[in-house]
Amino acid sequence: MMNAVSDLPWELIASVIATVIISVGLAQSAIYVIQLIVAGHALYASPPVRRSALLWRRYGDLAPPVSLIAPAYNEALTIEQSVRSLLSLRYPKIEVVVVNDGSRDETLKVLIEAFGLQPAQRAYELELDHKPIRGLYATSAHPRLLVVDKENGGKADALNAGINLSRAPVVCSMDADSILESDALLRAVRPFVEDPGHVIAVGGTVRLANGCTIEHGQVTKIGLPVNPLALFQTVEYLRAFLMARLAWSEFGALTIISGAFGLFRRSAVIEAGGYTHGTVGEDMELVVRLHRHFHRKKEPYRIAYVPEPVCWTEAPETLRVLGLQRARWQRGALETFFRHITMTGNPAYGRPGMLGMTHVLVVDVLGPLVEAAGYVLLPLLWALGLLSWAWFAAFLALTFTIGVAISVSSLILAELQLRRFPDWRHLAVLGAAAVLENFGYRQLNTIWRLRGWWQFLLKRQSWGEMTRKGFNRPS
Amino acid sequence: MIDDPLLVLWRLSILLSLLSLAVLLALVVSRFFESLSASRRGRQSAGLVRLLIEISHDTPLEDPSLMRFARNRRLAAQALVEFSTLVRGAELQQALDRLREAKLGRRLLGLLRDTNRETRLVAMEALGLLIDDRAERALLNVVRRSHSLQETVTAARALQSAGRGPGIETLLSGLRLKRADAPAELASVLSELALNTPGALEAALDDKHLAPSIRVQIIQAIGRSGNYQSLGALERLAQGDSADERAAAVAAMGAMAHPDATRALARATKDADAEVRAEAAAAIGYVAAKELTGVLSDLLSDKAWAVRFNAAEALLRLGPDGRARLVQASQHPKTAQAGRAAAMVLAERAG
Repeated sequence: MMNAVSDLPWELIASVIATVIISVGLAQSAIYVIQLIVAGHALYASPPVRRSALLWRRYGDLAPPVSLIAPAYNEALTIEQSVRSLLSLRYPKIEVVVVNDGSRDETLKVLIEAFGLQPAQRAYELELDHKPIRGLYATSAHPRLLVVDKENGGKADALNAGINLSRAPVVCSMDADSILESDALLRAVRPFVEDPGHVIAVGGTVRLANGCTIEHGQVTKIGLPVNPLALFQTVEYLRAFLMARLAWSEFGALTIISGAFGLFRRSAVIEAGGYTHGTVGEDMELVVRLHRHFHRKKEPYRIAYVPEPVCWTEAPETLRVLGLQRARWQRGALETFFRHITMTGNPAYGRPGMLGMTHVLVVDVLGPLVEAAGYVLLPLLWALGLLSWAWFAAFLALTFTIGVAISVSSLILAELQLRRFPDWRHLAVLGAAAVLENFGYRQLNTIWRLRGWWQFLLKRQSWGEMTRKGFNRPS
Repeated sequence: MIDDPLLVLWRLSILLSLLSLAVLLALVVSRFFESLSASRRGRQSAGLVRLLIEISHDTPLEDPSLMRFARNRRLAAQALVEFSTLVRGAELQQALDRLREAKLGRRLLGLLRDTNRETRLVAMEALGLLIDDRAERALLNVVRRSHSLQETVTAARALQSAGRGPGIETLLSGLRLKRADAPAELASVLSELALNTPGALEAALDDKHLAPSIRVQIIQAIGRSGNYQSLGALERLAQGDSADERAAAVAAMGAMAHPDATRALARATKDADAEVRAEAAAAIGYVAAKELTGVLSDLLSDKAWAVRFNAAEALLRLGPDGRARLVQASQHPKTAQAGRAAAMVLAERAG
């Protein structure tokens, strides 16, 4: 028996393992480099309009009406300020639909008292499924506000109810506790104005509000978080939004629009069946389903992305909460991937199938598994003398040094094209964070994503046992 | 054998990370010195707008502030356009006169060939403000020759804002080149053309080379013009092959609110396309065609929600008779859908 084990070609086995790990790592790194180049080109060729006065001059009278749908669950403490902030957004035609998703606290009571709401009626069709509505509330003092009180059903359910009740051709889905820039909607509708016949959805850049000064529901001074976890996430968000999402939108293969802020053509969402219940990644799932739906119909469409920061959200600052969030995101990505697995690499679905879903496979599905295997196996095989130093060096390159180059380059891109950092200190601190995040934080992320994989497998075995995703963002 | 490429990867990754760090360091240092330089800050767009407000009164041409303003063409164009949103009337004219005397317009002409699209668009808007014969020629050239529909439309808007809008033929010659969809901004260009040259847009629809979305926008502009002479053309378009054009024509008839459209609207309520029927139901309400109350009552049972909803709203617009029909439909509905639509719209309006 011992002889049989020792007779195995261990060096060959080690080489095969290392080849698989390095190949997936190389594919990931190549994707990141391409994203960086494409995002850089996109920002140069069609740069954001920095001054909102120009946008007002150009689009003020052309902007389509928007229904802003804010689902709220147990947000009695913050809901009044959130809604006042939404009502003060600078946009010509807006209605704010707040959906109280069966909160157990006094969210509804606070809203009724703060805005003097009265029971109201509104004609609507049950075009999308959702839990029963208990009541509608409105007031002539705030004619742009409608509050929907419904039974608890989760964020997707609440958004579906809001979409049914909204009247505007464009709906904006967001978290009630997100903070929108005052000109966020005007910036985000730009693709709808420039290409009204094709654009069905627009994503916007979400940035972290940790460390910023917030007054009256607006970010008045941009700051950096003191908490290192939040600091690493600041770099992570910059990289994800400015580089990855912009590049995928340029490719026509964007597979996710953040649940914290996204604009959709209402009719397109209804046609595609609205938000899906029973997934924790309803934002990604909807975007992938929109791709699927319009490709099947063979109807030209575009899912666009605006690189300007339009929305601020608060990031978790403890390992426990951050870990839970990342595991949930991973599970959401896996649920979407396996729900639409037939699109992957399928030419019938064009770029979203060939590029977008293949990217999800390499980065989100295989990524954490291969990266974790790499962290364990390659140092071990090298220590046992089964792999040469060159293999180990290649692994270090893919996990650390290329990571540094990508993160730092995305900061450079942000500085050159957007100049959103208030001063040199911010840039320097974020630069340091972009280096350090590759040594510890990235590996922790891999562990959390593995936990997400595990939860996904358990959920599949336990047949749809559903954990509700709350709307109150932990901070 | 395989060791070499692996080591190349390792060395390359170190080189890339060091290079990126060096660039970032350079940017940090540059921002540091920038923060020390007040004049640099003054050259930013917001600073230039403030400067423009200051120099809008009787500034001599050789004034250093004016020279500084004109130095960076891109920022000057952006600041000027922004300034025009803040200041109006005599003050704006005075500032524009000073900038024309300083020949800023000529300096901005070169920006029309910039590789950056946003810069080109802002330059067009600025040239519209500083209009003279050269700027007009340059903008007309963009309207005729640009391969970007967005640029054609922006140049046309800039010319219109200066009271030198392109004629329909010039605009069409530019639009024919493009197969892209029309940006929403085209609507305002077409609306002004429809007001100034009634009938010209109608004739433009004979051009079959125009993109479908542009044709739809032309029909919408005709509707906004309120030119009753176009009703006949809209009636014909409401029976055309394209559902989008039929819907736009029916909506345009609704916008005109002329009773002569009644027969065409009645026909449109039987259209195969739900959007056309929905527009027809709404238009009947705007036209106040009381003789179609029965037709609207029937539409309350349509399979599409938008049609049912618009029919119920239109019945309310028809006055007491329409409301009575709606109440009747809610109490004794022909179908459950009709009853629900009628009851919901009545409940909403009662509130």
